[in-house]
Amino acid sequence: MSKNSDEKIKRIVIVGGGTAGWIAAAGLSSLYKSEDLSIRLVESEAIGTVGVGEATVPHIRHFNVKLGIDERDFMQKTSATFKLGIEFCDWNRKGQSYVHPFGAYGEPLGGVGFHHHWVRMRKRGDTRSIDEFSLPVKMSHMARFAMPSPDMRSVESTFSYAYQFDAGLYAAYLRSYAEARGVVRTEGRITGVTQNAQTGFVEAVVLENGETVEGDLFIDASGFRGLLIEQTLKSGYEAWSHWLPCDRAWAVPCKASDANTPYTRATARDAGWQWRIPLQHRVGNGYVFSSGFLSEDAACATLMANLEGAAQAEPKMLSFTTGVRKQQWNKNVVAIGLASGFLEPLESTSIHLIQLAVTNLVEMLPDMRFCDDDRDEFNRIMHLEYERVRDFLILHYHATERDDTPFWDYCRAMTIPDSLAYKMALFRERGVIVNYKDGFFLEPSWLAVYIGQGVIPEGYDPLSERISDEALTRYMADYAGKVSAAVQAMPSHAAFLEQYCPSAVVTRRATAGAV
Amino acid sequence: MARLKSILICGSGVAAWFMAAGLSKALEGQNCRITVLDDGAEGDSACLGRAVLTLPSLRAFHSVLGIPEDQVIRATRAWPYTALNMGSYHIGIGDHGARLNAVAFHHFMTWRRQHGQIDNIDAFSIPALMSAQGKFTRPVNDPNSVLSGFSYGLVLDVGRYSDLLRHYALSRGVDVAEGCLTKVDGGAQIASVHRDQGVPLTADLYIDATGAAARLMSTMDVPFEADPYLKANRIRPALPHDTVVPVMTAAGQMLPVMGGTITDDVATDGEGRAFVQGRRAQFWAGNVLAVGHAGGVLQPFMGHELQLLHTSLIRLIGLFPDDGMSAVLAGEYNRLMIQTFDRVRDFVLLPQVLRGQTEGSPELIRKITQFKSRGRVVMYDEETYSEAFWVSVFLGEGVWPERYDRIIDSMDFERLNQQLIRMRDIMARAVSNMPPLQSVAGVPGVPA
Repeated sequence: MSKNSDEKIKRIVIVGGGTAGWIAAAGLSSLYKSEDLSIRLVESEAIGTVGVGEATVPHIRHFNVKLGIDERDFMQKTSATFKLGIEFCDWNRKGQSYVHPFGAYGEPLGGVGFHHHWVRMRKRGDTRSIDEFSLPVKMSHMARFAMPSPDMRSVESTFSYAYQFDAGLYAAYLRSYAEARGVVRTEGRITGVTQNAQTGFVEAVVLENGETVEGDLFIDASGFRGLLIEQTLKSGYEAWSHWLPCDRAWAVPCKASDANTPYTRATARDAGWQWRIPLQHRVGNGYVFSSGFLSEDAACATLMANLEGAAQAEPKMLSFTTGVRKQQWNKNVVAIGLASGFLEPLESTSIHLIQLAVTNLVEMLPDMRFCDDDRDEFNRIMHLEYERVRDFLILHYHATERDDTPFWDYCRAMTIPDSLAYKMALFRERGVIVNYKDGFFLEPSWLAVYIGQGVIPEGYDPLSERISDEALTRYMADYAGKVSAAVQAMPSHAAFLEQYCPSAVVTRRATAGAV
Repeated sequence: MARLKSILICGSGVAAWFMAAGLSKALEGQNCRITVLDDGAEGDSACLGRAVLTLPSLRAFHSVLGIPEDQVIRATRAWPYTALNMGSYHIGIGDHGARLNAVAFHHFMTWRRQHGQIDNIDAFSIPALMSAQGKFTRPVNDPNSVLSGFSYGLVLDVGRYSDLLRHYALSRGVDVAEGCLTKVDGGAQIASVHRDQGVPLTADLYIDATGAAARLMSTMDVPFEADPYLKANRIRPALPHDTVVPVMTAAGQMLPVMGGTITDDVATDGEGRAFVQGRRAQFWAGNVLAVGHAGGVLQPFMGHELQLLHTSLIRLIGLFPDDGMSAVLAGEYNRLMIQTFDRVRDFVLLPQVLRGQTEGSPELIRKITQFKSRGRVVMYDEETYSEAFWVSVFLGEGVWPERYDRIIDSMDFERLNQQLIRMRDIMARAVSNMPPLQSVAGVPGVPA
């Protein structure tokens, strides 16, 4: 029997800093002693980073906890705010908005999901929005915040939260974490890559100053260009632009106009959408658009005309092709972040997908034999995750009544993947929400977007009828009352931040916003 | 939409009464008439053997019905078990050891093995130790207790279990139609079911629980697909052996029930009742659902029979149709049930494939390859058996991962070894202090 010790990889080289690179460095260094596995990260200050995803999803908290990160300390140093969800404006129709919250709507009653009961009452003329039954939605509306209660019976336990932070500061935070655990950072621009003549495996990267950095396993966190995964190994790319036609983004930070909102905003525009991510010291903004439907200049003008405060930097433009690397792991190179694929930040999944890749890499960490099974299993799982996020994003574009621009006409009429079409059919017909073991977005997320974008079930679970109208009416009034009372008792988000984790950022930073 | 007003269940065995009992509870107060029509055949339409194992989650079914466990035990001459004795190892209902630093326990056993410490894997499993020593106690709720990491199921007499559910269903107003099924007017939808007396029966929804004959589904142009991997096709009663715990041998299973042991051997060809393993291409077509053997047949192993029935019931309730009989709901039911069935099939296959007796499905081969290579248990959507079951069979059949999770190499070896030895000692002590299986309250009687 072979032993682990015979074949262990000893050197990991991370190519590229930025959020992806430092997440990998921090995640790996928290698990492996540096004597056992050396980790080096090569980055160049000359190459700007694309701050990936200033807004996040609740999974980041598990990652931070695994690393032993203190929440208050981390939030202060990254100028973070709390995030309870995303407000989507003008997606279904102009003038209409909804919140996709991190939390539940009501609770199951008589073994039947709450939304079935809600649909039933709606059919009988009840006009109340489903928002009345979601604590995080109401908290968002009123810009309140308090920590979720650990008592699972209380309504205060029915939500979760994520953060909105400065991605550059998050990377810096993780950098100091990783360096304290033995990760060695090398400054320098990579000018060459050496490969094994027989196998094509990457043996080293060569820096501008002539230095060679050798490794057993390379993590490509070099961004869109995919220095190793694509430029060196030609792993190929599966484009999804026909379903997600946006291919450009302008980004610019601005001064905040009012108190920090505990949510991200995504406003649909003529040929894409604009994000608004409130931090403690500024607001990140960007316009994600399709160049096939709108010129770059016009998009920039739209963004600059729709800022709530003075711009704090020149707008920067990014180009991308939505899709996924055909092999996110190829030979001895594992791509993470933008090198592995691109999904627009509509649901703030960028950092989540990086952390998932790191978690799966740990699970599938290869040895010097680099057997294909490790690679194939990693690629299978990551591809599935990308596809499932993709479908959820497509839903936002496709489930719309908007017919005011050619862009929305295209999205409304396009053919969607079968994997999404049957999910929508099930919901539309009977309010059934499909769940998977893998796949990040769970039932309440699908529910929020379906309902918010006008996909209202025609039928509901007939077993809802086991609860009488009177009992249901009483229950719903009671639950809405509890939600309302709970929100009233909470401090404002701004007050909570001030007391819990006031930003340590004193001078305003002049980086462009982020994708 | 209009609610379903009538459901006709055809069949006379445990599958029919399981669905009748479950639906009568789920649909209470809904004015939906549930009728059971005997299919005129011998009843065994979900279980090949005469006794069957349940998995712990079936307790949820009994609890929804409101039948206390003591009553189930008395009425079905049931016997609790915590592990299936596979001869040289046990498949315990519960984990081996405990996770340390988020690393699954079998990696530590692999690590010890690579360092020359050959452990008996059962020594790290409370349910396996209990089974081996004929001990029993119910698990406790406190997650910090060593007695919280396992569960138990029951060995049931199938005929008696079917009777229990029948009484339950009848007491809740389920009707029995007189006569036996003679003919089905099928096609794209079932129009009516004829019998040897009385007028033909019609319903909004038909449930085929007629066993492998699938007398309703077979009229629906939904082919039966024989399983390409599982070859056993005969089952026969064998001589009873004395055992107080369930035992699986190469030939079949010995299951203790109160008052005796029921032994059934499976074989390829030869004597015995014939069966073909496999499933229908769809479990729900038009207005008919096939459950139990009418939907699919697998040789007995680790209690999948009632588990699959329970899953069918839960899925049907979750996707409960109205009288429009939506193809969309049926499509989702089929997608879920096909995955569920095939993953259970893979579990039944696992020991046979590891012994080189047959081939595995592509999904199972990936699972085996991943475990052999690095101790990873690939879990797909719709798995019935949790990681612990798969790990028990892999290690029990002598398949050790080539590599353990190397996070272990960053831990303190000495301390880790001490921790593991202490864990083993605590488990051994806990089990030796337990009362013998036969003396447990609620289990009146000793297998003869």
